[in-house]
Amino acid sequence: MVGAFDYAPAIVLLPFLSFCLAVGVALSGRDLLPKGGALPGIAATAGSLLLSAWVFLTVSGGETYNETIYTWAAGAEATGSLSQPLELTFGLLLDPLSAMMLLIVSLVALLVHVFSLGYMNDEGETGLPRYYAGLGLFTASMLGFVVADNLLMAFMFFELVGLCSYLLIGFWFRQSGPPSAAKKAFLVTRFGDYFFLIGVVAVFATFGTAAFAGEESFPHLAEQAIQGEATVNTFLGLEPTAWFTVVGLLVLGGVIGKSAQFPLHTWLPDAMEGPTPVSALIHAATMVAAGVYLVARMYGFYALSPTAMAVIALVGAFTALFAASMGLVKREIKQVLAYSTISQYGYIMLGLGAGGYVAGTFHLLTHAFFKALLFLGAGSVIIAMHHNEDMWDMGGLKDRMPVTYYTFLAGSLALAGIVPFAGFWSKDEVLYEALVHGLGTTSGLGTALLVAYGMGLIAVLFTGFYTFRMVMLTFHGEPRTETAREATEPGWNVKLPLVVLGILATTVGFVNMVPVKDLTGAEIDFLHKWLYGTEGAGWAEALGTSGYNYHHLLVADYGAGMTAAALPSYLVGLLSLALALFGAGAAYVLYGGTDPDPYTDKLGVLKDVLYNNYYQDEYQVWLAEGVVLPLSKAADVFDQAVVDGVVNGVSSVSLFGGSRIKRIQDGLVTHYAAMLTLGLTVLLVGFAIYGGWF
Amino acid sequence: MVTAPPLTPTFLLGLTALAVLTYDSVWPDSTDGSVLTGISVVGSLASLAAAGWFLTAGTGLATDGVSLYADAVVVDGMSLFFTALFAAVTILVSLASFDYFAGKENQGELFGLMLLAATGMSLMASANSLATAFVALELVSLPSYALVAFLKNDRGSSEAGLKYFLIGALSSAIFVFGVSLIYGATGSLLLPDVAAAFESGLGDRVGIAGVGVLMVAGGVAFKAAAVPFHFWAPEAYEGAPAPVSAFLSSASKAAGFALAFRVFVVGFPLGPAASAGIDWALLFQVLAVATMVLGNFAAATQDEVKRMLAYSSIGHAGYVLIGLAALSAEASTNGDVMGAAMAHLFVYGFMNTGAFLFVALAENWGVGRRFEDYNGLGAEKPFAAVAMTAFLFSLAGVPPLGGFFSKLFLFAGAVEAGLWWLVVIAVINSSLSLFYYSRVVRALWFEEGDHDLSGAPTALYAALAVALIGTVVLLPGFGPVIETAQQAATALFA
Amino acid sequence: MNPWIAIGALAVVSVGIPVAMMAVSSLLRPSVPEQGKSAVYESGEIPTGTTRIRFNIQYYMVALLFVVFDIETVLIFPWTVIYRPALEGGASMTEVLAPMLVFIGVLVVGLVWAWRQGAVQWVSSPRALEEKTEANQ
Repeated sequence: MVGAFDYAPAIVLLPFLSFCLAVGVALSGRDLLPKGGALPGIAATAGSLLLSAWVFLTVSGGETYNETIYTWAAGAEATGSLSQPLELTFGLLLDPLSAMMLLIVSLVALLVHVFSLGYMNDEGETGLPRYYAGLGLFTASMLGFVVADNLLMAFMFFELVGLCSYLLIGFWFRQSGPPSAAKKAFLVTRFGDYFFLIGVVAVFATFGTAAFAGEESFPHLAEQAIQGEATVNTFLGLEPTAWFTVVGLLVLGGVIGKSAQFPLHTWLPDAMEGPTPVSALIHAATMVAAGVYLVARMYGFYALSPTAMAVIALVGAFTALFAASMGLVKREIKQVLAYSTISQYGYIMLGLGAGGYVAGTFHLLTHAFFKALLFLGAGSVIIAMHHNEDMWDMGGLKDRMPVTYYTFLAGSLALAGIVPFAGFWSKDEVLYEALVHGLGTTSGLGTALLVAYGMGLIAVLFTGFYTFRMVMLTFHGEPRTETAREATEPGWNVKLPLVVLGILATTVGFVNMVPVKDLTGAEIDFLHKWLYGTEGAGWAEALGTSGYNYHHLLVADYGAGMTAAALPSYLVGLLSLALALFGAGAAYVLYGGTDPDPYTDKLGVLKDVLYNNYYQDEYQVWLAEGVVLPLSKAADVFDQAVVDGVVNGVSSVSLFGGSRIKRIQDGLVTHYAAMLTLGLTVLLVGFAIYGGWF
Repeated sequence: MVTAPPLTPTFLLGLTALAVLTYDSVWPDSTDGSVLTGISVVGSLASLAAAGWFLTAGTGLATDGVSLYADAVVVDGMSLFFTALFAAVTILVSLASFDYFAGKENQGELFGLMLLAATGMSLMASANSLATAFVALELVSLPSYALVAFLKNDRGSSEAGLKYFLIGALSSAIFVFGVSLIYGATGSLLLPDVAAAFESGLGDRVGIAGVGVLMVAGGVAFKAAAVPFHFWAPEAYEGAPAPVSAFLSSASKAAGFALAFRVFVVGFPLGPAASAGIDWALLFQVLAVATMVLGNFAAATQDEVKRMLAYSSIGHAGYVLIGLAALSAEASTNGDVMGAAMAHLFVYGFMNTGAFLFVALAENWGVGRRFEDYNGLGAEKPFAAVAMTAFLFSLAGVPPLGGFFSKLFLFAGAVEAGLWWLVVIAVINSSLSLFYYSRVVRALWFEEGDHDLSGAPTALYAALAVALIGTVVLLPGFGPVIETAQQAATALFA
Repeated sequence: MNPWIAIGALAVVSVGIPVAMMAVSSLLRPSVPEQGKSAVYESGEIPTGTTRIRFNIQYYMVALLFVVFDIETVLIFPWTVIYRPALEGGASMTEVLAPMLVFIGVLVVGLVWAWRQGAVQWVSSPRALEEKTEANQ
């Protein structure tokens, strides 16, 4: 019987097809497609969405899929102490995690395609086939990344996604800002990807496989190796646990780059130079999620190393706080959103690092929707404001753009974590996991988690503040410019995605209301059940990617060794809700009037520091110019003088030798015959003497 | 039930030659080559299909081999592998000839000679007796002389033909003299019997046998254009019409190696030969080094593209010689390294033919022969230039093209056999080759040029496209090729 | 003693004798240069023109065709000798006859082709024709 899994490759291939179509049209140089290629893109992503939904339903029925589709290189024999030769493959892994992610990506991609009709087509942009080609390739790559069944395939799509991001940030390549922002995004993420690549190689060298799930997957092998049930190659003379930590941190390099975590977050705010739908799709909802998704995907591997978990949690929490503080003072609406994105991904990392696999994934899910919503709402505002993004030039837009206002408000409430909007449930679960595991675990990991929890909690306050500062400045008060006074709401193709996402941002949190469950005892933690499966049976047993397995690893003494303290989740939730409300209330008080003052100016030096992002860019530029550049110059001198000298020497010797040899061939056939005979004679005499023939 | 005779691929090539001659007898004055091209292509395709079928369909030929005609001929995996290669090159060259020789007289002779030479090559790969080998060698050589001199009003072509003939006659004489000495020393012309004589000890006839082995090596070195029997090659390739150059430098060279592989491995088993003082692996090591150094160094300083390709083809003969040089008695790596050499010849058949066909195309357009004359062709004829770029980079062994994998396997096999110093020399030569190949690429793409080009000849383009597909498809399809080759080679050592 | 020494000695002697003879005669003979001595010997006739003249290609063609049939005869001859004994020995007609028929068939294709290409057509030489007409006048 033909099921959803047989069509699963089409989820990836459909957007790729629309990419090919758009590229073909772009190359032909004629305007062959209606709407500049948007319609094929919409059709393809809608198809992907339908298929994803089908896959989702099938996975809900308890079926999963983990198959290799194509082996493109296979080793001849095993290396070191491995039992299997290396194989490089493409394959699909469809389990609850990837099914959920497929749904998120294809839905947001579809909505962004629709929104682009309003943002790009109606604004009369040129080069639309190029734009839609980029979106199509991005969607295909992202979906390919999501369904990847091994680390190498994931890496390849990871890089493709990065390429698309580069192409789309630099879409307006004739202006000065976008190309350099694109370059920055590309280079900074590439810096992380170097570590990732080394990590991929390390995984192959260690385990001989990079599969995510199943008996022969590397997380499973790692678990067995620590328990002494399997042998793997380790390097640098490290014990398995220490070596796995090293490998995990190498892969984490890519995650930090892609998910814009400290200190590689600097590219993301600049990436806002790209078109706003691109920011929504790529730099908020999906691509940036690729990093944390990867952590969730190979969670079984990280769960074995307390050090790696602590690093993930601390990096996440610090990023959450750090980015939120910078979001407090920004003037441009998209900048605020950019920093909030960085901050929210910090929360997801914190959740994952704190042993909250479900919590992190849950926040990934809700954030995808409400952040896409906020970006699209900002896009709608930007259309209305004729591409002026400064919030101090806005104000009072709520009466002129009601649909945008109410959906944006829903997204903001979700972002700030106000009950009952989506962000509340997921962010609280993240913080709850950090707290209970921090209190319960006695090792250094526990202390680290408590520190992380503290930072996350302060960030809640900041989040509430900057979110409502943004809402107040943009929508409330009196219009502060002529443009704001005459703003009108764009058409249906802008409103429709906003409404869809607005509803989702409001409701999607209900899939996992843990505090309510704790209060009432009702079994309504659907996401939890979905990701956990049935213990010891079905896919949870076969794939080893279930929450049960991860939980088992987290508490095992050979794994992270965590213990959860007993705390009711609603109490913890109340604390953070109070902080969020306090932050939001402060923003309302300060900026809620008809004509708010720029209070940030009163912060003085602190404001400068925040506004300049703690001089992160400056020190990174200094690193590049002050440290790397002199080193490169020294290497260049070495290359010019020594390496080139040798190479040039070799080549002039060969050219001289060549011209000598050329002279032998003088065109006289008698000479040839003579030399031929002479050569044969020399060989004969030589071998006769050597072999002692006579 | 009627079964196809094991020599079907060879017979098909011969019958196609007869068909061409028959057609030409009926219409001797026609200058339209379309029917002749059609017959040649169809016949060669049939032969290719038959060889491929025998190789893959488990006919028993691929592994065990069948001896025919009182053991004078043997059909096994290796002979079928090479026959497939010859047929493929013949298809390419026939297609290209349609445009290259359009409107010329005596096209029947051209196709007839080419197919007869291909028949001879296929027979060379099957020869199990030194007599068959010699007859097949001559069946390849004699048409080749005529083909090189085919443009009889062109001084270069006639001169090249004469030189080729003179050197060829000398080499044939050396070969046949070597055969007679082997016969004198062992009392047989059949390779298995010769091998038996080697194994049972040559006594005081070692000297005679040694001289014989060396002279036979000289004969195959002539076909393969290896030092010091290479002198004809630059002249013949340069003077000959470009499709003929392609044919000679790809197929004829491979035929020489096919003969060398069988004669030396089957006829002169290395173990007894080396212990008697006839260490022919050492001989081929010397020849390999001399050939690749000379070929590549001379190619680096040429001014004309065709002559550069001629020398590079000598250089490649040096690489393939590693396949013989890296053999050692009773080593398990023998089959692998020789199979890799065969696979390299197979890939080389496509990429080198393709490169010469581009030269044919350039001659057809009437642009000059020097590097500068190719300036700016990339902008005007992108497809052809892309194809040429792929061929050249593949010849240089740049990943991920077909030539990279075959060289990789060949060098890896040699390293496994312990000949790392030979591989070091080969890699140095390979990187030198990238220098002179990229000169053409630079001319094609990075220099400005002004040409008045007369369109795109369809058949030549088709041949170019087929060669390109061959070069590029051999990258994912390289697995089967190397497996077949190594299996066939291993069978030879059994 | 190594038997090759004898062969070497024979080679030395065989080269030495003619060289010695020429050397001795050039030392002994008087040198009287004369045109008649350096002229080409043509049975007493005085030669006209040089010896490097072009022969008609047709001679080669005929000679080549002759060689083909010569070899054919060489191969047919032993075949005819064993033909009857082979049949009597139990070989079937096809086994004995077919190879020769194929062989001759291939030759026939070649011959017909050569014929059609004009290999046996005697092209009249324009110069010879001219001389003939001059003589008739």
